[in-house]
Amino acid sequence: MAGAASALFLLDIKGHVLIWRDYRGDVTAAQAERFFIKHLEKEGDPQSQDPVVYDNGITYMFIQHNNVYLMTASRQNCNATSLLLFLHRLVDVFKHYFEVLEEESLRDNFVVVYELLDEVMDFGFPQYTEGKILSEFIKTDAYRMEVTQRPPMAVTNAVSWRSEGIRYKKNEVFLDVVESVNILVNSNGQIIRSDVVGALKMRTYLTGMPECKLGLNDRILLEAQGRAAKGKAIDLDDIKFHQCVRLARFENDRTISFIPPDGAFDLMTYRLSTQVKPLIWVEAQVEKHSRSRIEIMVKARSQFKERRVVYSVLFVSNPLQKVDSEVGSLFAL
Amino acid sequence: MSGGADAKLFARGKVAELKIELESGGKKDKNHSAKKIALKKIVANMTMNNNDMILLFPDVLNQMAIPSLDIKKMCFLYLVNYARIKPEIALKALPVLLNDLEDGNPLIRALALRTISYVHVREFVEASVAPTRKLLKDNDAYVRKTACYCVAKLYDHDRITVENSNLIDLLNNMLRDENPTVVSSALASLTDMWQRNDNIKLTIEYDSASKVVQILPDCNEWGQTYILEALMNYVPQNTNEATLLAERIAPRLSHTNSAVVLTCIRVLLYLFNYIADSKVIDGLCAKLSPPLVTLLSKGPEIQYLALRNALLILQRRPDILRNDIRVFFCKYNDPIYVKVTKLEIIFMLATEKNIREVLNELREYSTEIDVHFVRKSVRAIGKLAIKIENAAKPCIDTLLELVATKVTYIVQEATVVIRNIFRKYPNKYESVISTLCEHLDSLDEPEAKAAMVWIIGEYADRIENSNELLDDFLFTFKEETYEVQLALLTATVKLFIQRPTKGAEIVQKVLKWATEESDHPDLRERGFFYWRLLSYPDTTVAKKVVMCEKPTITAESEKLDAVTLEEMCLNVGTLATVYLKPVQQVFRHARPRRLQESPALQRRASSAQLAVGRPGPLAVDVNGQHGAAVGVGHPGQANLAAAVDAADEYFAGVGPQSMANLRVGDDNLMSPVGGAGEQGGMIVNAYSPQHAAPRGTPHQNDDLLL
Repeated sequence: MAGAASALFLLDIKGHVLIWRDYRGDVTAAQAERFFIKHLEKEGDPQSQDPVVYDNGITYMFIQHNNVYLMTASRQNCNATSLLLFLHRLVDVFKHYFEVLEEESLRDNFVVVYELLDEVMDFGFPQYTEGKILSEFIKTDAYRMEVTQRPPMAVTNAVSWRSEGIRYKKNEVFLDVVESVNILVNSNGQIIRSDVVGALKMRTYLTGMPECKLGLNDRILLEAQGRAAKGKAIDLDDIKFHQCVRLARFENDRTISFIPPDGAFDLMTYRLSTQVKPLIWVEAQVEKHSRSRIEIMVKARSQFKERRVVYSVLFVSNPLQKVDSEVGSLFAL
Repeated sequence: MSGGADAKLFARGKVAELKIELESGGKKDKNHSAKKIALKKIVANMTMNNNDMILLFPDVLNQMAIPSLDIKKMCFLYLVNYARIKPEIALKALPVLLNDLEDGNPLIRALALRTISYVHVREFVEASVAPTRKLLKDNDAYVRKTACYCVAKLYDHDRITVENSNLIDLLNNMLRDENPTVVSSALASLTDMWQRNDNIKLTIEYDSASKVVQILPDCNEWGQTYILEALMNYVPQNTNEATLLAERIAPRLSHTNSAVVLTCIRVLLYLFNYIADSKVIDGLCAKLSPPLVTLLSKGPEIQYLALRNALLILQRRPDILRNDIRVFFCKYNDPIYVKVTKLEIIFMLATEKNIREVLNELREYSTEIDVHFVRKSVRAIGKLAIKIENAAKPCIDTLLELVATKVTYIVQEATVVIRNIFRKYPNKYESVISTLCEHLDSLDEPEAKAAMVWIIGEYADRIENSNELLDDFLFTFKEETYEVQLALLTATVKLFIQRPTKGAEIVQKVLKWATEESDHPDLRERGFFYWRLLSYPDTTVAKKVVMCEKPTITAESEKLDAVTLEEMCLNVGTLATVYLKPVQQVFRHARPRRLQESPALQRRASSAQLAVGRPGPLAVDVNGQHGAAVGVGHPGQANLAAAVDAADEYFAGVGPQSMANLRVGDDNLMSPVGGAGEQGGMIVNAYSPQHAAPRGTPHQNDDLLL
């Protein structure tokens, strides 16, 4: 059900309010601060905290970024996903403005932060979170010019991610595919599950309002066109598109058509669950010699083709974190 | 972009100095830079909660008319912050704001409108009605969008004023605006008002629903969620309408914004209620699974929300994720709140087919380092034994393996769940008792102790040295919690009944403690009751009462009842789904959402479930059982029966629910405690000795499951 945030807080690592914005007048900063400091003390490790906490009639939702917490407070049954995601988008906006989002950069730019908080949310409803367009009419001191005459059309336009009148002498488009492989292995070395999450990263430097189209070797599409898929087609389990892509069109004829934002963005992300052989197979053997001595042997074996070369292999050892004597005997790497 | 360097302004300022700074500059200060810095200092102090800044109110207001957007914004911020504390001074800002509402720059018009409507002062509210009316028709979409929200804000401040104006009608007209963003804003504003007042009706006809779905792709991501949420107020009048709309919004499932995806899932689940053709529903259901799984590869917070909602969707539409149990297996670095929710889902999806895989997984969780999570995993294994009969054996084997680790909290947790397994499958797995007995010394938590004591009492005749084991526990009887004391009392009585010679000595000791030395009413009452029961010449009576057949337990108690589930499904993605509690239990003023009647509304086949879910009939059931037990031939039966009758008469005027409870309470005092206590978990009751005996669902389980 609809429902909106009562207030938005930016807090430091100890839980003190740095800057906050009241949208509905039914939650005070003192109240929120008292709750949050108590919560941080009680919970200890911030990574393990439930991001949604109910206290005294108010629901707090928060995320952490560097040494800053971003938190919404709400008294209504609001769209939790929307608000949590909004906090993430806000981080992006702040990063676009200040390069790094941390306590210092917020203080250094507090006036702009206030202006942004006024613009990105109205009456507790998320409004507009495209950093690039926002910076056309909310500017930091260094870039500030006198009164902008009007809000950019993009704010209320159907194409809300691109401004009009962009010009390039040389029109260029770059496409990158970045895939990450997730594999779940049990302690016997058996692969339980594997999937690939990929992103089509695009970088566009195009003039005007260009209409772009992209084809995929997607099995469903190829079959629809009557072209037999010869080993090269893939089955994508799920595809997510950037908001510039016309979803209805894709649903109809599997064409990806869009007017791209200017600069870098993720055109689409996808997931396919297939059997993937891990590029490097790691085995660990744990041997316990005494109460205080444990020997861990780790073997790493490459499994890719000989003619390939892999760069920047990084081994992360998982230190025995937070293991007390009782659990120590149980710990398996 | 480069950043500023204003952190240095965060120094506690003195009012007098700031006042001078604010007035300085004069004509030489061309860009008002001196004033700007002074204002920044004031805002910084305001941020630090330096309430002396209120004293500068008139001085700040004097700067408002300066034609500089920066200065204006800071002044407005100051105004919104302090207006409620000094409303009489704030009034001076009103003319400037009203003037700005007419400004040629849409940015300033919108800014002024946003500001004026944030000020909760009567004069401001009254003064902004007319301009809002005008700006709803502004030629700039950005201003119209702001005006839409303004109506909801004014409604929040002063319901009557808004209702007496034509603002709501005008807002309704905004749904016909040419700009999609404005339409979505109007819908957000209307839904907001709808939620706060039961008198506001928000009905969307098919034509309008169809129109807003049309503009869906032209809104930004947040606007799309507002439109989708508003669609929850559309009641399909026939199956075709619902199907058509569902198919038109389904492409949103491919949106990159998870909020759009989850809200779309909510609307689809809602529309399913109005679609007759199950093939259509199956087709659409198949589209829901992949996006839900994809949400699990997002950041932990979003994953968590997706999982909470998956818990719901699974109960309502089990086919959606049926084959995907592996995607819910925990990653070692998942945050604990994600792991715990995944565990609940794994439990729900476990079937006879995948039980091996599930047990392997749970066994690994049971050796993790987070104690809380380990306990839940062990508990889940025990509950699986109860849920799936054919899986009981492998579950017990796994539990015994875990007991062999000798880690105290694992042993204790396992003891508790094995007790429950005994309850569910009596006389089947007693062979494991000896293994459990080896670990008696590691039990130090009341719940585990009580569980072990129950097992010993229940199988006193089969455990060779049961009297010695109990005697060991009795050594610390007086220091134990009441929970354990009650369990010990019942167990010794059971021992005595099964092995009179071995138990005679200790049962007297315990009865004496319970009746003479304890200050706990339940313990004393029960002590007296046993005493009398045991002194009754016919010993078979005591045996019949104490060793009676126990009501069976199930593991399904964690499922939501049908009414709550239906409500939850109408709220997918909202906070209520995180708490998994009926909306009004958490948000007292929230307006509940129910499925609206329509010719297309599909009746659920399982409506019979509704009745079972409610406590009413169940309480009566319990009552009946107890009545039977009492009839066994208690000495004071006639008198008691008369008393019960009298009580019945007295409570005839009381509502059926509370009466049933009271009667259960009465009966409990004289009913077989060994059996009666178990039912107590279902009914909140002051009298029933809830801690007396093992309960079907251990009470740590208040949070839905495990």
